[in-house]
Amino acid sequence: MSFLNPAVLAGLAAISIPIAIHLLNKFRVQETKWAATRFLAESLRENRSRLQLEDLLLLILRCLIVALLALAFAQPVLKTLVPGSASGDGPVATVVLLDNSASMGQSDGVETRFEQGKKTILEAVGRMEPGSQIALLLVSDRVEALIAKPGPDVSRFRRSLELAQVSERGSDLAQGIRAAVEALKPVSGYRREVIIYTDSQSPAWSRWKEIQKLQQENPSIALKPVILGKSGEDNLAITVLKPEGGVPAAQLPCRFQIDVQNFGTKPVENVRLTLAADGEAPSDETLIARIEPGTTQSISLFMRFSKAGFHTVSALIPPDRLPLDNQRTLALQVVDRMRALLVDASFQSQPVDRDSYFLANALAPISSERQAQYYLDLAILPAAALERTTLEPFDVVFLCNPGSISPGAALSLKKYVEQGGSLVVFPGPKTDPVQWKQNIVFSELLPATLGPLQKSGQGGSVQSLQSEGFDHPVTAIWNDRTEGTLGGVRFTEYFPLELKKEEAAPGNAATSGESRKPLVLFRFSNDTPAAAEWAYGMGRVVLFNSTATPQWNNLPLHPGFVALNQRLMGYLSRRNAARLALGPGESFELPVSMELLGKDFSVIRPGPDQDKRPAGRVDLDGQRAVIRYRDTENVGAYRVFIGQDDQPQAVFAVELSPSESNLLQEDSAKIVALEEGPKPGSADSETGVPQMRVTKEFWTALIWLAACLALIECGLAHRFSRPR
Amino acid sequence: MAEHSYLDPDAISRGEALGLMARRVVEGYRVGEHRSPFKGFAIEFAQHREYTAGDDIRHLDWKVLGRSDRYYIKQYEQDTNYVANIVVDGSKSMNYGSGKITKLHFAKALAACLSYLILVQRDAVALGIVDTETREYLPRTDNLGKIHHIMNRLAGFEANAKTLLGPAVEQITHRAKSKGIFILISDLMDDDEGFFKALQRLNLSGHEVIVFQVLDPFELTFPFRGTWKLLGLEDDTELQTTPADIRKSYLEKFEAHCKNMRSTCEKFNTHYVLADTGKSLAEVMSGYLAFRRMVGRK
Repeated sequence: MSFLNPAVLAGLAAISIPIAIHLLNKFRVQETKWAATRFLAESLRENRSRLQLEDLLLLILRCLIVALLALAFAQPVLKTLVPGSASGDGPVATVVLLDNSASMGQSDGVETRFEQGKKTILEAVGRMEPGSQIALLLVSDRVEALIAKPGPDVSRFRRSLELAQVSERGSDLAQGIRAAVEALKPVSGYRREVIIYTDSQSPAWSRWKEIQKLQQENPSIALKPVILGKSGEDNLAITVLKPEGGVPAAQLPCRFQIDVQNFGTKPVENVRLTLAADGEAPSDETLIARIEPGTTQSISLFMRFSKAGFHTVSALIPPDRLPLDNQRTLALQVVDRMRALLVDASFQSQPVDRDSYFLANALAPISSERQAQYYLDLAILPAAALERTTLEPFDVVFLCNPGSISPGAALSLKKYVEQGGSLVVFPGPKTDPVQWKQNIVFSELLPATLGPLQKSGQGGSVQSLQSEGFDHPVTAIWNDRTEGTLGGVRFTEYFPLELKKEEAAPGNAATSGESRKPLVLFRFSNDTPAAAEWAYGMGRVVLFNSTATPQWNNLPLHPGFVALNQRLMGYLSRRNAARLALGPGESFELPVSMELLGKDFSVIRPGPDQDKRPAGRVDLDGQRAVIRYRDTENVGAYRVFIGQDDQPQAVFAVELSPSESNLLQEDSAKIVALEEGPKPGSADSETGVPQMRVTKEFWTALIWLAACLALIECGLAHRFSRPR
Repeated sequence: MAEHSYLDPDAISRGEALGLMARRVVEGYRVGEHRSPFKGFAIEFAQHREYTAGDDIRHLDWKVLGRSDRYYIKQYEQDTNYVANIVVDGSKSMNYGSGKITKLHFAKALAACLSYLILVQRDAVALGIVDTETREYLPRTDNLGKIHHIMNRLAGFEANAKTLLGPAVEQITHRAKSKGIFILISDLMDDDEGFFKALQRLNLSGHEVIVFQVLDPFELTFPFRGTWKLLGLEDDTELQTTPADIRKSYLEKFEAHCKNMRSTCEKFNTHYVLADTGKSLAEVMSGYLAFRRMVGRK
């Protein structure tokens, strides 16, 4: 025996009401003088015991009526173990799970799959048994409950369905199915089913095992997928758009890598690909001759930005049935000039003998006459002056052969990196690994700790760099043998790097959304790391294990040294701007000057409407002023303006998940198996896992009993109140 | 209480028309309208009796002597007035009244109106107020002018003792030696034996007795609702009850008591009148006088 509404049992306290009324009547006594007390006393003496009995009987009856009513409204039921079969006729509790991921926007020329799904659902609702209950959930890469719990209000369901819209998010049906199952669990007395209206994209079923487990755990809840559209629709999509090479600088050509993927089953020919900046006419284009089905063509196009600042870049291919992935937009910050500081421990030496000599030439590989026009402004600083120098104006700080780092300098470097600066460290002969370890502030900054110096011929051996298998974006270019190889680089002396363990980003590093996992730029051929980097605060720290001069290795003499440093500069610049690319629904956060705190900001969203919309106010987050914007459901570029400024304070882009472009449907046999439910013989047998089912309800009987007692009470009260 | 408030004009006007005549032979002290037990030498011949030595020979019936040579004395009936002894029960139980007036007030008004009627028809009235004993006694008077005196006595009395009719009535009868009318106005909240003895004594004294049992309508119907605490007027009894639960039982007992009182009255050839204070005094009094006129003399 259990209760469907146990909270109503609190109503048993109402038993006190008839008792209170009884006592109240006893205590509410009127008084009068009386002459004929003799006859009264005799009557009382004769009737006392009978009267007490009658009073008690009526009181018990009244309490019993109240108790029965309270119990009836608590809906006592008898639950018994029954097989978990979900088949049968009669009213059903249904959760309609409608896929509203971006791929549902695919059109057959007349209507999108999402609209097709709506129609199908309405037809199904019209065929439902009277008394059925229904809920509506939208699922993409998140679940949106339009009607969270199954209810009988069909008109509300129709209205909610009408207002439902397709999103530009990715697909993940597993979490939607889980939410639907959870919504059905408390429902009893009905057949229970989850009907999934989806285009059945393969990525949507990526968590297939989790779905199967859910089905096995809840065999009495039927899962019924309804597949919308045909399998294997052709689709061509731009899946990648990213800047490549060095730092995007004004007046310098910037290379963009664009991946165009053919998700269809037939080859596509003559695909025109264009690249445009800031919504203007395309500045570069190409014609892709042929893309085989299931393959990706990686194309490089160039763009030259006339001025520094935030820009948007869009790549475009001709529209097809899923127009959302035919254009891809990114936001980037083009620099006018970057400033790099080279801290040199041998500043007093001749330039050619300095520790920063080769590095400076690799960073600015141009003649001295053209230095003024070059995007990178180099400054060289003696190591001793590091503590006294303000680092904020510099984008990157290089430490070349640093010796002992004073506590003041370490604190200055830590603050600089935490606020978004980049630090690159080349140790050298002056470096004392033991002293660095003892300098807690500085050693905390580094992605690895330095081991004892290894020298060839003194217990050590000459180490060469790996020639393939680079997995870092900076060095990945050397996976292509046509770009040369780093396999010829030899290290005669070096400090072995012991990588730090992955840990959560501390403090305000959380805004970068990254964990502190050291990444290896390149390794020795014996697989030990030779250079590593990680995120610290809002900046990054790169640590090499040897010098930036040919003293301990021949890397500075290698042709790849220039490319390595240029790519490293570009990487450090873009990593800091990585927060400009978001997924749909992700929150955009950008630290700004404290002077802007409290000012209103407006946003121009993607789409035809290019008016500024008030979007919020610059908020305080800890010690920083931050622009925070959450309404990022649509794919495309967003421009953020402060006050009445014409120039955007920031630009960011929301990018479609590339998996949404893959319209290939999941194996139909797999889907059919899901609809058929758990297989016989497995833990989830044919009859399903037995579950507690309501087999008997008592509330009607209790109501009738209460009514009968009420009648008896009325009769007795009437009888007792007659003159006696 | 003002004396004039006891005289109800309606009751008096109706009572004057009906009058209160003696049903029995009464022993008056002057000539009146009522038959006297004494045989005199007035107008109306009553009977003969044999002559005995010492009789006045002026009343000898000479005709009978001449015809039969026997000596008979002629006797004549004598009309006289009566003395009405009005006895009001002044016990504490008479203080009950559910409405504006108490039973005692009703009894006083009834006594006053009867006194006035009796005095108007030139009969005499003696007033007694009793509880456990005689508290007030006003000797007989046939002077209508004394009605104010009677009402003053009534108005000045306040009840503060229990009912004990037997001894109290006995005391009155010692003072009222001549046969007359004895009017007892009481709620009869006495034990049956006391009442029986009082009536027996009055009957033996040769009085014509009229009993007015004054009762409140609430005593007759017991209509209380809810829970009540009833405080005894003549004792310290406190009874808390729901009257509705015991109404029937109470009414049965009370009616049995009243029936017992009535049967006692009938046994001693006494008129019993239930005076409901819920009715008007005129209605109660004229109702009885009309009944009495209809019944006539014995």
